[in-house]
Amino acid sequence: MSTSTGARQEPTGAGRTGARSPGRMPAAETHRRPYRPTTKRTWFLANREYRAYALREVSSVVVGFFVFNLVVGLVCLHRGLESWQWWVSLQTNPLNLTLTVLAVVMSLVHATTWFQATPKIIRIQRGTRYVADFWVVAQHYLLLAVFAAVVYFWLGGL
Amino acid sequence: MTESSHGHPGAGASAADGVQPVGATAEQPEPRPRRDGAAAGPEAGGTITLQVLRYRPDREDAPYLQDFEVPWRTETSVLDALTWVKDNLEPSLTFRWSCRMAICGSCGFMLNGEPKLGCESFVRDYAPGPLRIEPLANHAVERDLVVDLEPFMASLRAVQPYVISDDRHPVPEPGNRQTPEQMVAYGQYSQCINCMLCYAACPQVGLATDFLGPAAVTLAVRYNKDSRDHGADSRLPILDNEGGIWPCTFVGACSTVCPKGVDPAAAIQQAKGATAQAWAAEFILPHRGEGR
Repeated sequence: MSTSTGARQEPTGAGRTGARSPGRMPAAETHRRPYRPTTKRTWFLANREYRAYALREVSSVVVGFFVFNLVVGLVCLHRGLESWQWWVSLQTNPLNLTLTVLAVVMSLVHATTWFQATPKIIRIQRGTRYVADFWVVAQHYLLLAVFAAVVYFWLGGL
Repeated sequence: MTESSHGHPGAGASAADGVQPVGATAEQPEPRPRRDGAAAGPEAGGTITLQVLRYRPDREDAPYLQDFEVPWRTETSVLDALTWVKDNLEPSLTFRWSCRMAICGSCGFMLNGEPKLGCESFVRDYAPGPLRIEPLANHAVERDLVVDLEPFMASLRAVQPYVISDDRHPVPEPGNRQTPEQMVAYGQYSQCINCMLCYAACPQVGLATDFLGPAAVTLAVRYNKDSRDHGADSRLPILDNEGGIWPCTFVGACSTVCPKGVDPAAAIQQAKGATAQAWAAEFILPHRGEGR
């Protein structure tokens, strides 16, 4: 890249000591003093795209809490009737109900955003064209529907 | 034309540095012929305040914003506006530019916080202003709008961005030939102009300083997908590295800001897939059964 002015100084630090051409003048003492900006801790709030990304990532944390609740349930089931009944009663706690509803919402956010991202990962070339993004996304929804149906019937249609 | 400082106590000294105040109704930039030759649409214009980040390492310890009132017309690009400032108000203003048509990738700036090429961004889209112009984010600032390119160049060199042939795959006679299908496999990734907008958009570049970055990984993928190239094994240790492809968390902003539609986010995710496959294949058939 060329520059509009000759203001840029050639660095002369470590790794740049070798002359690129035999006729090059010895490097003068550098006057470089680059200013290094730092990334703010709240960078993920800076614009809409970052916020969407942060929501996608944080959705997994909420789903993680929901899975933790299920694991606690399995442990209680293993420990006996009294423990199990405690866990069942815990599920009607308003805080737990809120968490469950939030987990459903965040599961949808997580699934849809990742499905939307899959065409970047899965690129199917057909001749000189690629299969349209729509079909790559659609196959994920189709697979999800098939999987859900299998689980539903496996559980005896509830 | 007036020139004022913004948020920096030392900025007022610029008038003594040779800045010539110019009347606000003075010279308008000469209109350039439209590239498409079509008749100009409804003419717009006026003046806009550019808030340009200044950093002169020999004078200041930290950057500050300096205001410039600049005349603009329908066809005035941000690069034109900066050039006007340099020609008429502040000769020491430093920025990179070359081709003025989004080919060289030199004039990347942060325009109101978004990475853009100055030559293909128009002042009319930011009127009535103000328009904040800063150097590309996530880079060390050398002077004013000029950033340090060396880390980026080191990343480019690291991925061996050239066709690699070896003894097992000598160049055939009468030379390498490709079908249209083989060209399509890497064509999109070969459009990169190294403008570094993707580096400015990627938060991971700012957070993980040893990250190769979107453009460098894209270039590696571009050659890995080239039927003439046999250097994927050689690039694998560079990509499958703590600072290689793995710092990428798929924010996707690199693809959003790319002025050439290269889609570096896609390239990096595909590189992750290929790297994971190579890792798994090593268990099944170490060194592809060829020994070392």
